Amino acid sequence: MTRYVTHDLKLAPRPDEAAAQDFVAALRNHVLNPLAAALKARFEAEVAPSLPAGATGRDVHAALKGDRLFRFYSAARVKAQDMVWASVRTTVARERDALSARFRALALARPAGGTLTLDPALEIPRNVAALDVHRMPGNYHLDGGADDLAAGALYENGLSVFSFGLMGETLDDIGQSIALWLRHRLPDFAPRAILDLGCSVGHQTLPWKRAYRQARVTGLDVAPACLRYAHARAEALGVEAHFLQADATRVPLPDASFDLVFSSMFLHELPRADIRAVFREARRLLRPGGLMLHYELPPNAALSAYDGFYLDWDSHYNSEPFYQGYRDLVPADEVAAAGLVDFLEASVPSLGWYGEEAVIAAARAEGAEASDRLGRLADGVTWYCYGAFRGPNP
Amino acid sequence: MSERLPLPEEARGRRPVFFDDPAVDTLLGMLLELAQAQWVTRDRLARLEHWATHAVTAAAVPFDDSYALPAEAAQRLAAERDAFVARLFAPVTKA
Repeated sequence: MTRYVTHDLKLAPRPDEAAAQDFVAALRNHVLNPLAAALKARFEAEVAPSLPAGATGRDVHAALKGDRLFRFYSAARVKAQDMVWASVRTTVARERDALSARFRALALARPAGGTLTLDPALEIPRNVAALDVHRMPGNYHLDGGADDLAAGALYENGLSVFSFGLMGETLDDIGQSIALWLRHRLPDFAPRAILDLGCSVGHQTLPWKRAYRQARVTGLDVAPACLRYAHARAEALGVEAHFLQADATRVPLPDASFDLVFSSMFLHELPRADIRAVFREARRLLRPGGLMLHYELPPNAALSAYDGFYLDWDSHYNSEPFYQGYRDLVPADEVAAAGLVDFLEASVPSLGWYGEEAVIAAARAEGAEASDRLGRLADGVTWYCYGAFRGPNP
Repeated sequence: MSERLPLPEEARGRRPVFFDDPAVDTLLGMLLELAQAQWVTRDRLARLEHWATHAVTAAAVPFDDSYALPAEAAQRLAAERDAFVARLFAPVTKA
């Protein structure tokens, strides 16, 4: 199932390793599709009738905690999560030095003309350094020093198993879907400079360069090995992008230097104070008329109590301590507080699942369509995004 | 690069426990490890059976890590894998 890593950094898992990955992907598919559907049916039949009107996601969680199916679902999901990383770790470890050699060759040749700028003095923020997000051993910031790509390889190959095809053939369905949606939502928007915050290995960075060929695209993250991997990956794919090691709450770039500031699955990894700092930074970095746009988990207000509970599962059990607090925020209020205007939000159908016409149709619709597919990695996923513009005033 | 620290095997942080008796969580984890190992064996057997049936007579085709099932057989095996996982969990969804 590392079959979705197809560029020059792809690994060569042995047949037994590939079979082990296939099993984990099938396990996750089963847990997140039929088992999740059975859990919801159980809730609706046996738990919902006894909940008071106005019950929240937290109430649903409390009511289901003792349920036998919830316990099996959750225990299997945690085990499957650990098996994702275990299923790729051996291959990454064996090929670690070979990946470094490929990085050196690509960084030297730079066939796409991209760049990598690391800052060895950068302090890794505590919300990254202190935990292993998604139970990934070592976390994103794991770094073996010069030329090490292991954290990036672990993450991308792990994601390939984790997402069992739902992130697209090249694991960039979010970026591809949202870039296509934006081109049709704002047909006159022609950004010259695009910034992707918290870009990790650059999956969702490169679709912006493909969508807006004239733009200079920059990806920013704190994790050096992920950024090395992102740089090599972009060069291998022939897409020019510029990667920078920096903290998104304190970006070392000039005021008014971007037309689009984007992030995907990033804000929910941050404490609230940092989310607000990122929004202020985005406003500072945008030119007048520029757009801040985030792919994220949908807020509680957009979902039923059950669906809110379902998304918050990660916050309780998957080393995502800021997830629930993030989802309690009201995006429109937060972007307004940062001085941004003309809030917009959308549910963007997955390009890989629904096709181009569905994405274009969504660009013509207003608002985000609430559904139990919104922001949930399962069959028929739709991506929630929101944003706002920098007004004409300084 | 031998001076690099090896990749960690375990995630930091408390491992969630869901059952009143944590032994059930442990046993479920053991069961899934065992099922994965069984599947790895099944996958290898499927490749070996295919080789034995289709390629063994061609001396130039050895059975090694590069021997892969053709697409149609791989698709059948993937369906078998999904059905195997579904059978594992079938008792869980029964009342």
